[in-house]
Amino acid sequence: MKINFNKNIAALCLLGVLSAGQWSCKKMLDVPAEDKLDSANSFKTVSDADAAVIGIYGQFQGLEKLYVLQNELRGDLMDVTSRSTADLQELSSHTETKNNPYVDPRPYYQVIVNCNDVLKNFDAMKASLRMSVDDYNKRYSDIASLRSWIYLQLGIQYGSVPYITDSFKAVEDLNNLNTYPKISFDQLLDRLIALNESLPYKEPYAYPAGSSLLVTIDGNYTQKLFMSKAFLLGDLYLWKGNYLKAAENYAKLMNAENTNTNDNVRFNFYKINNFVDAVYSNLAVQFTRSQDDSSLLNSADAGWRGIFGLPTTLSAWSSEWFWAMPYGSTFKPVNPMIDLCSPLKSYQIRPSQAVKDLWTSQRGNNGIPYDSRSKLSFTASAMGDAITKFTDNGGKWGIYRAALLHLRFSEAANRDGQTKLGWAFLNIGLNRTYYVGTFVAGAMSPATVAELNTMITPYPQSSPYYFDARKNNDVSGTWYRSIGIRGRAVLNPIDVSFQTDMIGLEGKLIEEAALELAFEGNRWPDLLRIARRQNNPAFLADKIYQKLLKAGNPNASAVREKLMDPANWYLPFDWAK
Amino acid sequence: MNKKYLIYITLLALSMGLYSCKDNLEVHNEITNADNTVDLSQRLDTQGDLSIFNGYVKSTGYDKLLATAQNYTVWAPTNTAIASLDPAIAADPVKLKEFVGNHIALSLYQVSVKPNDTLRIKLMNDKYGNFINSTFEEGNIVGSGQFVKNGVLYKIDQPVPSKLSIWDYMQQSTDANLQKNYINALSISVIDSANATIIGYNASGTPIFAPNPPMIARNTYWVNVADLRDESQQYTYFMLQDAAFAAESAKLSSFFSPIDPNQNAAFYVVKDLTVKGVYTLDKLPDTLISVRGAKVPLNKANVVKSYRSSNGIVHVLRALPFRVKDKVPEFKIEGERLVNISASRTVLYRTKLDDKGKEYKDIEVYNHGISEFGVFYSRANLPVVKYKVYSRAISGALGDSQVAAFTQRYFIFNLNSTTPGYTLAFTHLVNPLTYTETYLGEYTPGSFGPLLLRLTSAASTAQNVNTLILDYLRFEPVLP
Repeated sequence: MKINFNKNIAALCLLGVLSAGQWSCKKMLDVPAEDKLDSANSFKTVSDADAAVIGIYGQFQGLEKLYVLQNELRGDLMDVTSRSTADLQELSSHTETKNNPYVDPRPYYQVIVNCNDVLKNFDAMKASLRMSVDDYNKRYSDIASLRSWIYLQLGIQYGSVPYITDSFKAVEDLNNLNTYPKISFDQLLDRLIALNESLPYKEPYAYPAGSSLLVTIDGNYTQKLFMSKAFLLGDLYLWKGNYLKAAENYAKLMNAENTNTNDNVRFNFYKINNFVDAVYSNLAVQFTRSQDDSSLLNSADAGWRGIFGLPTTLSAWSSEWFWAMPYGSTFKPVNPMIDLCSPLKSYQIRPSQAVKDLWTSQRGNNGIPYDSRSKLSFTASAMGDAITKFTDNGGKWGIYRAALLHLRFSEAANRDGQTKLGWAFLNIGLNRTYYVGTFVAGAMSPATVAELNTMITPYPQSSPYYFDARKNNDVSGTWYRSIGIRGRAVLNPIDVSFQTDMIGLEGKLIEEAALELAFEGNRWPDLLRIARRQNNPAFLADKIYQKLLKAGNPNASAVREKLMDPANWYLPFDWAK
Repeated sequence: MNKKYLIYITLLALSMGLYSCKDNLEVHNEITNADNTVDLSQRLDTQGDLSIFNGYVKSTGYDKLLATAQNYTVWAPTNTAIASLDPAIAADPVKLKEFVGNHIALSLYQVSVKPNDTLRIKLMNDKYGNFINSTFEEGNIVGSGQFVKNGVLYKIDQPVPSKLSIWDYMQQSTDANLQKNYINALSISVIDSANATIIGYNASGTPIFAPNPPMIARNTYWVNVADLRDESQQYTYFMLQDAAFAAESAKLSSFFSPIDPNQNAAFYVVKDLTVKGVYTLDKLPDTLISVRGAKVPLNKANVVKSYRSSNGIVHVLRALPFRVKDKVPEFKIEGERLVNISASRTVLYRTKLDDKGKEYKDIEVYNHGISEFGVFYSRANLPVVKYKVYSRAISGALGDSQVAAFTQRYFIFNLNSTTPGYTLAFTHLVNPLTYTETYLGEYTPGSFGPLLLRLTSAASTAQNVNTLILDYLRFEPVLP
């Protein structure tokens, strides 16, 4: 009798514990799908298809927090604060377990499942002539690419993952995800490259002018809301090690506006320059008084910080971005980064000492002894350091932009043997690197056509490495304003000896990515890609070690040891049920 | 079998959850002997060994306070402890009230378990008492605190009569008459705004007083050095016997000879006689830094006597031989800390690295188009001594357009001339990338007073010729 009583109590307790666990699972799975049409019957016209596309992107935007935290907190540029939750502290110090919600891959698959469903319905619409082949090609390619982008993320974070492209019947299937057969990261890359190469529509922009999906809504233009297929394809080839194909895809975007009849677009879009034009280009680090660091232009509406703060309807913003999803106080979803970054809110993340030291170690070409992008990336105050990149003027989730494109292109070109070209894009731009000829008062002044032509990179026109950067009174090559990533940031170029040092330049390109793209979600993939490629675990492990060491974490050495084993680079594909 | 195992785990997990509710901090600070039925006044009545102190509490009226609803802490000396008290205190009602008030604090204070955790607590007589672990000033707590509904009662084994402040002690002491008289003479008269009649307000909102307002004396030592009356602060104060005070004043008389007695040589002695914090004789180091930033060289053997005051400690010294170089220090005028410029032009406040990678800040005024452009600097109270003057100005570094050599000049305002004005002191040829200091020459002020200096560009409007650059000027005194 007594035993029974105890048993009952214990069983009840157990039930309580289990049900608590169930509730927490439910919360995670219940990601609200914006504008989602949940029945195949709803796919009747192209408007329904458009709604499905927008719905997928609305749901996709909910992945930002997970994406940024996995990619940056596990890297060395972002650190936890004294107020961070235990889960984030684990993620930051590489001690996460399967109980950690930031380890759970299901949010990614949630979107993938919906992509699969939408793609299946697109196929059905095309087969039953409810959608034209032209409309189908664009929408299908867009959503399939988006799904590939998510799979690339999964590969980066988890290594081996299940590759599922057919639609699930029910969401509950997700709980059995880890019973699906997994494929390795390398196999995944092959599958993704094959799929994306076979897509029917591969133009630089997802939807051409005139498409029903290009609208201005809530003050935002939707052109760059949709993912960039060539960028993803370049990334896939870069991870795979096919550098020429990577460079070709990247160059496609770099030259996307070369034939635009508006010179302001032609010379500024995706070229990385320091040209000042309030409408078309105003994204360089600027000082109203040279040499005087107190005169830094620190505004979310102009200069380098404007990259993050300018409205998506402005050409200057568009001249940098390929893919970014805006937030606003007037529409959902709420920007999750405000709460994470602001010392006045829950303040879970902040810049690491390691990235601050990296910025401080740079030298401005006007004598200012640090990289001013630090002040434009976060705001220091007595309350704490607030990362501003995600939150300026309401904030956007920016994924692909020109600086990233140039760095990735340079990385591919460098590995493809074009180290000097990579150096040019990193440092002082094209014509300043390649020009051989007459100078007048320090300025390039070609005296002959031969001298002028040295401003064209020495490759055939069919090559992805061909760039026309000529400039004199008669000729303005499309790339003449190219000033380099460091040039735009008013920094000294790195030594010219790196023009012939492939491994050295590769390290410098990744370092520049830290300075330019800090917190944007590229750091862990960058470290992982190079460590894999160079077969050099220390490339990754040392950087994490330095972050933890500078943050005073006593486990820094142990974490370094752990990360020296490539098997520990990936999160467990396992989660607490 | 399996089921049983699960049950145990569940129970274990639950019981762990229950334990975790009690954190360590709570355990430490837990009040165990609380009695919420009586107040402090009632509790004192029941304590036989505190009857004498309780009698004082009642005769001074504090018993009514201790029966009110606010929280108080009482450190009550036992009857045996009170036996050692000066009978003059018990005889004088005013002194007795001061005495009792020195044992009571508003709010509730617990014995800290952290070693040397000091609580400096405001007491009912407006003095402050130090509560360090289980000691309250000189008294040690006997037994543990008795917590009642409006506070806590501790028994202590020594009476704690209230002490004089440093200022009051100096006033009643005869150990350092010259010093005392000098400091007491350091006064200015100010309008007694509390008692003056206000007849209106001017445009900026400050009051206008009726003619011949009542005046009140203010000692400038309280403002210029430290307010030794302030009970909330703690200072170590040195009183020099007359011979020592006279000797130290004489040592400085040639450097400081102003008309204003508030700034004479004696002031430069007394300004460095106050140190922040309490340094008892056994803890007195060989050098301290005064509140005005000068080194105070100390020798314990020179301490004649010490007095523990309510706001610190006083040491009477037979000698305190200051070094002249600490009183007449070397100083720098930083280029970026300018006072004014002669015309509205862009001044570049630069942060750069020198040849050794060390960061420095300076100013540059470039291509301003004005002949003899001036940048003004000042420093107050310059002692009369010969200075060697050095300058550091770096041109032509990364980002700097000024790559040619140029000449700039330094003018110093001459107060003693029949026609006071800026006169040329030094001419400085600035060669590019000179990271070392350049020796400019010697300068001796004509009299004690402010240094007014003007950095002046060449008499030219030409770019690259009339540039001004200054990191700093260094004035090194040549002492006898």
